[in-house]
Amino acid sequence: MKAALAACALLVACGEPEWAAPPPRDGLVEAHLRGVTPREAGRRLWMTHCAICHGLEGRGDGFNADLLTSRPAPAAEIVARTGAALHAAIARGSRAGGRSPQCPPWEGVLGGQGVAEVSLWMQQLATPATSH
Amino acid sequence: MMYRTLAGGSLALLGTLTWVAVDDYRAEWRDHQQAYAALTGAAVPIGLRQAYVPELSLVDRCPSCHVGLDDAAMATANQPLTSHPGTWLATHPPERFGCTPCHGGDGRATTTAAAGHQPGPDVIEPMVSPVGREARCGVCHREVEVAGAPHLSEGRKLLKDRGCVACHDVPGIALDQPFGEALDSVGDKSSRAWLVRWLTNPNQVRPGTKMPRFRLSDADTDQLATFLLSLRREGLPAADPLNEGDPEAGRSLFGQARCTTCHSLKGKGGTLGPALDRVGEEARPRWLVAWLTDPHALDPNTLMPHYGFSRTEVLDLAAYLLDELIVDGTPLPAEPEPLGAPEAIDAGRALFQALGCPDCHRLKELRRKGQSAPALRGIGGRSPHRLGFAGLPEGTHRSLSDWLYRKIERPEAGFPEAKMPQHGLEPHAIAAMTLALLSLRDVSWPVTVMPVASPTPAFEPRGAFGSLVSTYRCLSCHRLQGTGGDLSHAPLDREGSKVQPEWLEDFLVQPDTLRVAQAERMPNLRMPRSDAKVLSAIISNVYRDDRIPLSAPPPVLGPEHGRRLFDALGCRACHLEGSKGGYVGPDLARSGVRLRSGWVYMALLNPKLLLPDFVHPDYALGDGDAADLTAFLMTLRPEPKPSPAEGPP
Repeated sequence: MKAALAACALLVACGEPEWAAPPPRDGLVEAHLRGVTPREAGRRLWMTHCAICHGLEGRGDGFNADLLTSRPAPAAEIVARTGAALHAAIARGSRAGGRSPQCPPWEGVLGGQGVAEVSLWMQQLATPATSH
Repeated sequence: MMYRTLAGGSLALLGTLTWVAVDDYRAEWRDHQQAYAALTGAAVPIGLRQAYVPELSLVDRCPSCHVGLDDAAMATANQPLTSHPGTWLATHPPERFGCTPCHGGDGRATTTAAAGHQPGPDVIEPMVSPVGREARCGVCHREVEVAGAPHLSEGRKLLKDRGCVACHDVPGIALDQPFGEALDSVGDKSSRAWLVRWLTNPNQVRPGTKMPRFRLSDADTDQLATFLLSLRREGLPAADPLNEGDPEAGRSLFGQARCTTCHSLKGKGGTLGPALDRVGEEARPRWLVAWLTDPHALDPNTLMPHYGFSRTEVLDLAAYLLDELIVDGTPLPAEPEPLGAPEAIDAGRALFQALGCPDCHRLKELRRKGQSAPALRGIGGRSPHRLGFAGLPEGTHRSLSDWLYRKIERPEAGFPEAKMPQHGLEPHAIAAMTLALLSLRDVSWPVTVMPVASPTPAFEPRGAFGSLVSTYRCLSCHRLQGTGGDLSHAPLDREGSKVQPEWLEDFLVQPDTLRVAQAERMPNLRMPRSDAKVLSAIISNVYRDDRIPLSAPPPVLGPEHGRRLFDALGCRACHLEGSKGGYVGPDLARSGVRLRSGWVYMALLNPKLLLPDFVHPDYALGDGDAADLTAFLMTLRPEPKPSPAEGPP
């Protein structure tokens, strides 16, 4: 009887269940409906809020650029100049950075998350320029 | 011998019973519960746990392994111990809704494999993916827009926008009006050659059209064309725009009336109406003149407004369209083609009905006998085992969702007899629509669990206002009380709180350009002032938001301080004021006559609430600054310009 119990205990000890639960698949639907990544969300915000002055590709050549008293900075330049303060620069606007007031503070309408997403996309826009 | 057999049998039975006991003791959920106890250091009673919902006949034993489900401290623990993400459990407590209604799978199972975490040959209903879960939201939430389920909402909107619900009955989604254009006068309008080209491949003739491509033989196409050419309207007035009209004047009128807000030329322009690049090959002069004079007489459901064009203007515009908008071919002769033989017309009519054309194109002469395609109620609950997968492309899983996806993608693949035409949709759109179809499951759950969504009927304004809204088709672009198009950014529901009645009246008569950067502009409807007065009076007095005062509080430091704020905040980067400024926002030069001060004040304080669809920053202004800035903006009038706006800096 003791032996039997010992055998049972051994079995229990060895029977470590394997946990593997990769997300179940919904085939084609899942393949075509991926969630929006933060960077993609940032790209969309860039297109709606920033591109009109800073340009679709972030070269500072948007539709509205010529109408400003000073040319809007290219994305790469802003990223390089502000470094870790990029988030604050977008959130508080150019006036807070001691420059012209033409780029408004965006935190109020985009929220912290929106600003972070735009930062991600600006870093992406700046990448090709810094790589060579 | 018998004793030996009995002894052997007894031993075997004892062995089996022992094994059952041991196997049960080894159940994986015990280990998870012990692991949870070890992690939390709390005394956790070991035992099966389940969400039992008698109302839904549900026994979901998922919490046996997912022990930390409602324990916020387990947020970063590994599965299966992690806590449920988001606030879903607060809105959908498991004791009321169980687990499987949202996640799928077999709730009674007590092992990972049997619960259906992954599809397998023995799994009747596998769990759904994070995306597929949105379809489960839609089982109970029947409204079109479901919060927290963006793909489902998109798919449901597409079922409506792409006209699926014209042919198929889909619970909860209905068209506000017939999907296709009225064809009662198409015989006066078009030629056989055009119709054949159009029916053969609509998307080639007019890229982006919502008319699907039917798989028709040449003989079928010809029969349909014969029938369509027989659809004539008595008494289209005689007109000869090519000789009487001035194409140059027509071209400038085309620009002035802002036709490209809805129609495109060479790919540029709106998509509410058809592209007009080839309208000269499509429409006969007399029909086009009748259409431009009063489109609603020819198609009572068209989105096109009834412009107040004069006879000369109509002839000029028609001359421009017929003379210049031709890609290859020549303008159609004035007289319609001779009628086909009665038998051929009858055969075409029968085919027209058999193909389900009247589902989209209503005809006065045909009575519809209900929708031509199968109703889709319950389609999301069909078993994949009863679907045919033969002939479907490689990479198709034997699942309902893949089957539905393929069916929408290429209806004839695997279903050669299918009547359903090709819609040429993007993969993303097909996937979203599939999700919407998967949500159509018939469940007989009590109303205490299912929110009852009563579809809101389309808003139909009445009386003089209603008839003007219909004549000018305001709701083709603008939203009012939840009904209407979305070409215009802001719904009209609080327009009365925003603009001044006199300005609105002038704007309706002669819409000037407010936002230079915007391609879609309010068309010049040639509206008589009497009509503009009625529309302006109703909108100004009825469509108001009582939370927005008509007037702003008085300025604290005065409009001059407001002007300094205007400069300091860089408003001119986006707004024109005087001759200087940007093209992003509206021209503020006439704010003093255009806007109500109360609205300006509130919008400055809370742009996110009042300008949700515009890119307006929030400067977090104080009440005093907002009042001063408002006071300055209200000094901006066309002329004579008050001195503060022009004063030296």
